[in-house]
Amino acid sequence: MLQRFGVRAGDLEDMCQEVFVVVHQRLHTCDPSAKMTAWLYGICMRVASTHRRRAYRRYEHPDDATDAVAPASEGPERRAMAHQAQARLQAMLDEVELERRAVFVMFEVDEMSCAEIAEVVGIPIGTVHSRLYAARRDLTQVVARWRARESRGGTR
Amino acid sequence: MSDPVRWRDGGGAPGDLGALLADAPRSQPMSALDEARMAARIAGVAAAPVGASAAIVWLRRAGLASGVGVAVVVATLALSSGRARPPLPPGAHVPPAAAAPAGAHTESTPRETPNTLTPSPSGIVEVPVVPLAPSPVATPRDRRPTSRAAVRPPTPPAVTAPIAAPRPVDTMAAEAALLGRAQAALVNNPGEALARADEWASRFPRGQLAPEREFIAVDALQRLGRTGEARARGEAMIAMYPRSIYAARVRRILEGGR
Repeated sequence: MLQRFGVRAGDLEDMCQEVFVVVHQRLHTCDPSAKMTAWLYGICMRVASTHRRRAYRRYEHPDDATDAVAPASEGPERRAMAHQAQARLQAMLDEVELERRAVFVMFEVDEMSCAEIAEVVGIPIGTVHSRLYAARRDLTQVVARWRARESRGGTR
Repeated sequence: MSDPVRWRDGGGAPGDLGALLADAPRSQPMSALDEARMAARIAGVAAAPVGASAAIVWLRRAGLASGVGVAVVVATLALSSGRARPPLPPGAHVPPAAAAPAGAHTESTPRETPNTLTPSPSGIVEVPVVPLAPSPVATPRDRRPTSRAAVRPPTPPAVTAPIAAPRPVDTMAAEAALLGRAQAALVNNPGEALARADEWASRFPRGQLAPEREFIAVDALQRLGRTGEARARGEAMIAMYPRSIYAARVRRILEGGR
């Protein structure tokens, strides 16, 4: 889930440990009769949100994310292109609000159904749809902004 | 309500977004090695008392569940969808560090060092036992070995005379036990907690839970009114482990908050 909130590979372990610390501190607030997945989802989101605001966010090592897309056997050029594409996608997603981003990534990248997402997040399926559409709308605007910037000769 | 067509499947994504999504890797589950490393890291947290025993069972469930995926909720997805193992019942097997009873001195127990991580029959990956180079004296550069380092194969000692194979040392389990005792004493008997932390430091100068240990020591010193010592020890801890989550908590203690 932390990956879906945009936590980079190099930071995952630290963030995972932070989630555990919060779980440890807030365990008494968890209602055993409620869905634990939703409770943990909320914790992950807050931890990821705090991480997003931190100035010292570590920039991933190029190999962190590339291995999953292009294994070392594919050669440096292919790996560089894969890394560039992933960095571009992540930068676009970084401009989307966290809750929308998570739903979008679960649906588009992890290919979960809306019903599965609703189950994990603990929200009605209608809310999943609305967050998904909102994320798509946001990303359409992001792409338009980027295009305009790139056509003016600017770079990201 | 049916699901919309995915952008990555040609559902009308703007610009190159459809192609980027089509090439994007799915969220990666933890490897067995990552899982073991994470289990070792959280062992100290799980070993701390949290109140009711039922709450501890919940915590262990949460801890074990989160080990399945890189992120906690990846696993919780599995709990509902059946893609991963279900939560364990109370009393089920837990990682050895988390389950270490107080007073366990497992560092002197010889064990074999596995070359690979093997899931136990319950599906839990055992944390490998790692031999550590002897380090009788702590130095200012005695940094906490990362859990990444903790699962590396041991480096052969640079000696010429033949020596016996290094004895495997499972410091995490013993450290977790000391952590539990120190934390239990912290509120009502900070002197005892400080003594435990110092004992911990002398036994495991290169301990894997050193930031947690120093956090407890600083808290105990502050509670004892030894603010000068608390500040000195806290600042040393922050300098040594600036990215530790405990560094922020030490700062709060030194600033007078909790």
